[in-house]
Amino acid sequence: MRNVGIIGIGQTDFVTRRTDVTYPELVREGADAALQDAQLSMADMEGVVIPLAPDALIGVGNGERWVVDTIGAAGKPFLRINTGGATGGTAVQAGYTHIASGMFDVVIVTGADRVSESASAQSVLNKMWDVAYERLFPLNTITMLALSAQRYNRMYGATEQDMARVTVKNRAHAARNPHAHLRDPITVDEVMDTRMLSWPLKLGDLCPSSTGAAAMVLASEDFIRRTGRDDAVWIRSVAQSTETFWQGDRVGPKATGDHADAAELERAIHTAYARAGISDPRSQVDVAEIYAPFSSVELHAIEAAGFADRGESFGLIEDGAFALGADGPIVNPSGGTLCTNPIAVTGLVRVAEAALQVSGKAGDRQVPDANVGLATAIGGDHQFYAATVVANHLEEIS
Amino acid sequence: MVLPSVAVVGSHRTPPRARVDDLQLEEMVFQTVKSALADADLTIDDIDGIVIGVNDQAHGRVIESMVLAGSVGAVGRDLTTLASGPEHALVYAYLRLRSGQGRRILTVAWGKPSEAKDRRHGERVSAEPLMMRGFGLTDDVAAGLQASAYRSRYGDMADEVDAVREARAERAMLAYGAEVGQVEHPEHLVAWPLQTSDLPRHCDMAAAMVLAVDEAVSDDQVPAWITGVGWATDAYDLGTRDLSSLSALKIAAQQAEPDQQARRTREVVEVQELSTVGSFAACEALGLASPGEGATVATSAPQINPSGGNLPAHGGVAAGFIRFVEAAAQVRGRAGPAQLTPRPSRALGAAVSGFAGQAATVVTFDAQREVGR
Repeated sequence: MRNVGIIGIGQTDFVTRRTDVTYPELVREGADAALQDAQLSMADMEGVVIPLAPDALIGVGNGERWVVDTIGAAGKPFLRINTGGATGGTAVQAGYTHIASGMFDVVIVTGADRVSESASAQSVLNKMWDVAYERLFPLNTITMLALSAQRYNRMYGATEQDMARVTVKNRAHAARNPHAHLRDPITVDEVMDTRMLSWPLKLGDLCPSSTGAAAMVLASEDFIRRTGRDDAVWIRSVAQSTETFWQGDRVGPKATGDHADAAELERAIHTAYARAGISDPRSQVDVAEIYAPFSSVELHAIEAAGFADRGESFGLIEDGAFALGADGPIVNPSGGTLCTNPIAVTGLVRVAEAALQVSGKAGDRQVPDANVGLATAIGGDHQFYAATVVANHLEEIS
Repeated sequence: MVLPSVAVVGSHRTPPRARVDDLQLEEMVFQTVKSALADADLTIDDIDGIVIGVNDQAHGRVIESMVLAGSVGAVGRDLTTLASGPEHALVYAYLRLRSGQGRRILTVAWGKPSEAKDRRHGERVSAEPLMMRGFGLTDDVAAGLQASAYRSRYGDMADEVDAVREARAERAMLAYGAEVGQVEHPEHLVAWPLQTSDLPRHCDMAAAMVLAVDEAVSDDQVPAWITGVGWATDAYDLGTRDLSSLSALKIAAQQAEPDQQARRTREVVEVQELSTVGSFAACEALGLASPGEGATVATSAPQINPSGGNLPAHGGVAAGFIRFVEAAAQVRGRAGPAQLTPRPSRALGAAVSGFAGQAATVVTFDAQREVGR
């Protein structure tokens, strides 16, 4: 298989609303930033991959087609990925696959989202569920993950304060990230004082609805060597897996995987580890950008990544683990999805932030001596999972 | 570096029906997947990854892949969803296998337009809201603009249009039986110059293909080797495009098979057509005829659309994907009543999507594996 590297990264500052640009113009901002970072132009791009999740969030069906003129993609191979919240992560994997196939040398993955454009994102997301059963429940991403959080807390003894500590950690990280949406530090008490939305999830446990763009330029090893890009970040492996759609199949004796855990995320991550030659993630992975839109999700996602045994992540967080300055893998030094969630590109940002870390370009949020990073993405009803391992070298990961 | 060759080793498509009432979409897709796997003499456990093509506007399911994931066998497996057009699912499955991500991939697409009260509502929101949406743009209106531009440049060709309509209907009757002829469609002007019978007749259909790398193709399987792939997009803004030609299709065809003469000698071409008039422009974009002369080859039955194509049986958003299924089936000798004899050894499939064919995809299939890749 051909080696594939990341040679350009761009992201805007993420905010609640942008009224100064259209959706295509926003995508263009991200693309321009990545191309400038790569010192290339759109004319150099041999293919384009667009991550765009539910069309309804921007109010335009197949909105990717609207983008073509604005970013200068006419005449090029162009396709769109939609795996829900995992879209950005899957789109990076699609860009990787373009190049690994031998058909392309350099492609751009570029997208944006403006979640606040919809009057009610949760009303849109309720329509993800089937008409006959779960839509009427009514499930949305908050009520669905509240069920998971209840289950986790009951099985492992975690508390709402344990969940709040995830928010506190990530907000402290986001304060160092100039692109993050929610950058104000917060305390456990302040999180506990926020409005209850769906027990045990409170407003302070949830991500914002973000608007912004992100893009990434990927290239073959041949291209990277030929153009002397010594600072390229290598995609060492990719993997995906899928959970059952049905919430009712996640509990009980016939469950395919317990709703408390993230079994298929674990499968995706450990498949990616195996492909990258990682056998002991606690010592071999330096930094992880884990897709966790709610505080409760980060608890079982840390465990799925192998950084803690099941039911142990919240205790480790209380002891200071996974925060900047701690020993072992640092989780979400950017502040993560909990502080910034432009759905279509959130997974892309996870890979971008992991790549910035291993290339030493993460600024105030830099993890010292980071060489190997993990990025994940989650989509659907906690259903579609993508995992990507990046490193600043092509040697065996030790 | 020698990259693997990739072949279609199994496929299935459901017969076109105006309205499938006895099966939910999930059941239609599940049965299609089972049949495709059976055609390949495989089970879902033999599959390393699944690639599907969806459209969230068509069937009332936001992130449609969620509820369909189980139907395609994706639980516990690697699933990727393409939303720019189901035809891209085949392209991406091919890229996956070429890049060493597995030995066999299942790719699936479907269209059940009968689930929508009026499919045109979904099409209208695909027009951006600032300029084009107020215009009332739908796929039919865009096809009318395309046909209008073509006629303005090359004349109305009324006799040739009639010939295309009759040729497609005749082959569809052969391919699918009487069912496609049973639905009454009162003739009326839809979008000048196109009448009802000039436009695709929407049907409920599902289709699937099993792809395998060369080392995973068994002696018992009849492969259709994928020897060329191309896909491209044109501009979105209709005002910047020459609608009398289909430039994205032309680019995709050149990518898939740069040698125009080789394309002209393909024994089978299954091409998605925007309309009867649109079939002329499609033939020209594929390099089968010179500009303005597409009508001379569009009715060269049965080489062009031996299945009848999508005009008499348009499987919703999966219509383009189904062209690939039909093209590969001809090479594999599995095209049923529409099978050409002797069995073709070289076929080409072409799909378009977006208003007036903004995007296009072309794939070539051969009985013989390309050597030295």
